[in-house]
Amino acid sequence: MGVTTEVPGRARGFGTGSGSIIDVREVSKSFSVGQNRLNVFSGFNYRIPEGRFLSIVGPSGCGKSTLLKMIAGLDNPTSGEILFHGTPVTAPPKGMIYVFQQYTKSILPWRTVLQNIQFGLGSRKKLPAREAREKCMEYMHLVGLQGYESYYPYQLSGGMQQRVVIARALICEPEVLLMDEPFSAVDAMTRAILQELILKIWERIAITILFVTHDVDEAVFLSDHIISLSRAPATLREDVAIDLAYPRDQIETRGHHRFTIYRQRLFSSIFLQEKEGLTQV
Amino acid sequence: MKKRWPGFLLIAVLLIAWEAASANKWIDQVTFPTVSTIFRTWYANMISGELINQLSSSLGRIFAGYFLAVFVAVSLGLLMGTVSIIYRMLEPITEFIRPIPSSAYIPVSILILGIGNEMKIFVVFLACTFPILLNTYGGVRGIDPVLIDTGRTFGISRLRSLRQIIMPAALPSILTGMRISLGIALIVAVVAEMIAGNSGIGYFILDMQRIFRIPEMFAGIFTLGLLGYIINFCFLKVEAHFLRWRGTSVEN
Repeated sequence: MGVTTEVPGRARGFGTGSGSIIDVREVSKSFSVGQNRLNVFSGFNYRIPEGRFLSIVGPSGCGKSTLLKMIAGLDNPTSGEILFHGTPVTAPPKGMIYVFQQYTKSILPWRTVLQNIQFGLGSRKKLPAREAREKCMEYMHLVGLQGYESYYPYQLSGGMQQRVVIARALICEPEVLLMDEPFSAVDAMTRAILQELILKIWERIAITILFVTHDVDEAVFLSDHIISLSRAPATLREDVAIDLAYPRDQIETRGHHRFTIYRQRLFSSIFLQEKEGLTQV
Repeated sequence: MKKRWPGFLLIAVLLIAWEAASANKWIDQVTFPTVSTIFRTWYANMISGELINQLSSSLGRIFAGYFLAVFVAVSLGLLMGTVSIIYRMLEPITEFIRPIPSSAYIPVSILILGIGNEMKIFVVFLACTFPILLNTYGGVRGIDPVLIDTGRTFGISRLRSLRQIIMPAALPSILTGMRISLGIALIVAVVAEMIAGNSGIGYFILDMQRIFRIPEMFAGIFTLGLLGYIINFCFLKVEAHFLRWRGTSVEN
């Protein structure tokens, strides 16, 4: 391959104890497809240290989203366990928020922008009304929604709706943000802007981000670490640390020669599998 | 309002044609009195309080039965929509009772409840229940799983999920059921009043026909038309207010 980056992960054995926030242990997951059972994961292991921006890539149908859903507690593994701060995840844990790919279905259309963000404050109702409003305004400012507080979602563009969803997730100050192809349904320019936004947020607040995407360029641009999964049952094909300096820049970073090398390495790994999958069918 | 003028124009033309046909005896004047006679009769009966009295006893039954149905059907529908065992238990029986025309309940209801207010309220209630029930559980079951999972990832309780996600998400559907039932309430109440009892606008129309006071009969029918129009108009306003977030309301 000629890529000189080290491949850490399990090989380097980080997270042996206090460092890892999420610990995926011997996780298996199978679905019944008609008469057959499809094993999406079979004894999958991975540890994610705190503060990481980890992207998960892989061929379509490899179980990227399933893995994310299981970590979020929205779906249960068939066997094995997922630990969050050492505690097994059985229901959606406090401290983790899942951001759905279909933001139009995840936004609450009957609530204004401000009320949608307020939804994220949730059980912290003890917060006095004025303080709650101020906090909402702060997060609206963070995602660039100031002035839109009384708009209903139908009056906003897709990119703006996704900002609302992100602000709603951030306001409850999660330790982990789980994002499932969050920018795949918006146009290219909006996507570039949202990518910068999410990086700005990640650099500013202490948060771990798990980011599922089918877009290798996006993964390389955003992450400090990328794992690439194989087709089902998913195994770890690549575990790459991305050695590109932050803050990243849409034009400069993407023009860096290492960006191209990472991109090519990951892309070819996925592309070859996609092709294999097609010839098998 | 501006775009509605062709509709109002047609109504005016038809009324004038009726007036002319009756005044010139092109049609039987006894069966079809002139429009002006009907309106004079209507006005006189409104002033005397006769129509108002009949109308208020009808409205009392309609709204009592209707709101009782809204309460019961929405509660039951939410339960059926969220708890699958209750859905599987009640869905077949609902589908069985639903196609029975609501006027068929009247004879049975008379046997059980007599010919008074209770019977009429009960019949209105029963007839209104099904459209609301079906639309409520249909609406709840049709909610996108992403919306439910959104609530879950924020760790909200079941009660908060019901209040803040399931009910608002099913509201358009619930309101559709409520609008259908409102029309049904009017029909069923009038039919029940015609079959039994001695008050209400339905009774008034049939009674006037029997004693051959045809202008009064038409005045009663006209009152019903007006009432239906006003109720529907008010309902649409309320609906547009509650669904203003959909952006498809007429207001824009």
